[in-house]
Amino acid sequence: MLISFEQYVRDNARDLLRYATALTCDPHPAQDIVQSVLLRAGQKWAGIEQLASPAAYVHRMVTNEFLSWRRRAVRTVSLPHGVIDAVVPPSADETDSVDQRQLVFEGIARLPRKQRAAVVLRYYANKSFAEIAGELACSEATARSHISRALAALRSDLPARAKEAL
Amino acid sequence: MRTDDFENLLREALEHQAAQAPSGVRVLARATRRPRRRWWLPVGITVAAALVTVALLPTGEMRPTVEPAATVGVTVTAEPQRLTWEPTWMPPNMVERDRSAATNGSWAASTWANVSLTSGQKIVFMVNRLKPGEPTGPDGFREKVEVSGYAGQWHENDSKTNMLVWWVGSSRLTLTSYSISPARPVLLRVAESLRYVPEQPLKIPLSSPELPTTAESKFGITGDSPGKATMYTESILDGEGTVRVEVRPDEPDFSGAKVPLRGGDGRWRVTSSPRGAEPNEVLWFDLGGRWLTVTYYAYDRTKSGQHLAALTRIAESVTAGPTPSAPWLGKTP
Repeated sequence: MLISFEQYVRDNARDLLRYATALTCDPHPAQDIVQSVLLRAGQKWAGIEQLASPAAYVHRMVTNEFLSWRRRAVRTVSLPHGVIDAVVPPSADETDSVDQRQLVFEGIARLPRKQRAAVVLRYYANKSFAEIAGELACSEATARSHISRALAALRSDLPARAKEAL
Repeated sequence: MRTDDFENLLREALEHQAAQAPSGVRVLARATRRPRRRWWLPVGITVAAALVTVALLPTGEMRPTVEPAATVGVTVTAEPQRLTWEPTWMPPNMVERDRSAATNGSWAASTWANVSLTSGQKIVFMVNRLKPGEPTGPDGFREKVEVSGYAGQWHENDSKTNMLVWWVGSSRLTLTSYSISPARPVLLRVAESLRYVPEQPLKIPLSSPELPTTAESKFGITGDSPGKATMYTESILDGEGTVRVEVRPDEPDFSGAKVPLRGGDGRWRVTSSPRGAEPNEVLWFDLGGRWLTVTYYAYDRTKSGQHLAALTRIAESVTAGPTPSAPWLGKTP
């Protein structure tokens, strides 16, 4: 069943913004990315709506936009700690679990772009390795490698205190 | 450090970050209303740039026209840091009609159906917290399947009931279909659509100290729409039957004998040979706009007997607060 672009945006804009925010670790470039993608998607929607899964295609466009923005260095997506603190105020909750979550989040923001995208696709979007490979245009083994390396880096970022708490 | 604990922490961090997403839905919707005239393509870049500029300016003052999806999901325990998932796809016309959880926190479930909980097509999604010593992967006797990279297995129970089971960290996830054919592609698609959501525990303000607590005790919210939510708790009485306490929005569709209850008049109906899913006994009382019902389902219907005294004790001891909001009732993913 074909779906209009307007209907697609109504149904999916919020999810795309959430996904892009998880990717960029910052809501502002996330909005820019989604805006940019939707403008392009709208221009070629007649072709996109014929696809088996228009939503998957646009999702991939967001991933590619995130990766290419970083390549073009139009915006700095890696964030200094101050910006991260502003996005997720550490004072909002001072429990150990939130401390650990904050540490993990800061670690995610420092990951190389493909590793970060792979981690977000796996642990936020709940994609299979095959789907991640498709979205990142790499082999499944490479997708697994991205995630494995990212997890190792994130674990090593945690101080001993947090590791013990886990 | 356990891998699944770390992965849960990672999911929490990403979900928390995603929750910071801007609410620019109206702005995005406006962008879609621009004329799509192909002869504009030569100046498309200029138009696009202008739209982006205009669209970005008022974001902070705009309200979204589409509210974020309800994120109340299936939760596993009453403890913090739980693993919580919800499907983002279901077959057409399947809406959520029930959420329940074990009183001891060992499992939680959501039920989706196209007609009702007792007829038509149905899918039940359940998350079990694994106990020490329980299998953490396929048993090797059934067909193995992979769900989003996790090991699972396929159960072909009978012509109408099928089951997809897979393991994620310290949880076992199960999708069971009823009267869906072919079930396999449907359940796999539902499984792959599952999304981790921030925990929002399923809680109901309904208790009865006279209701025995057993390993099988459970509670939940059910109904066809948010305005028709029924909260309930259920347990086993003397090993011979199930007792279910409900606070429902409408009066039971039965006639019954008047009995003294909670300082007023209640109604009691007993059926010696109930049909199908009918209860053997029902005791109900008007709470003032809501009805308290205590029902008894005998395992062996030929030996059901009468349980008015026990049901009355339970009904007298019930404490019920406001029925929780359940905006997900009757909704598609």
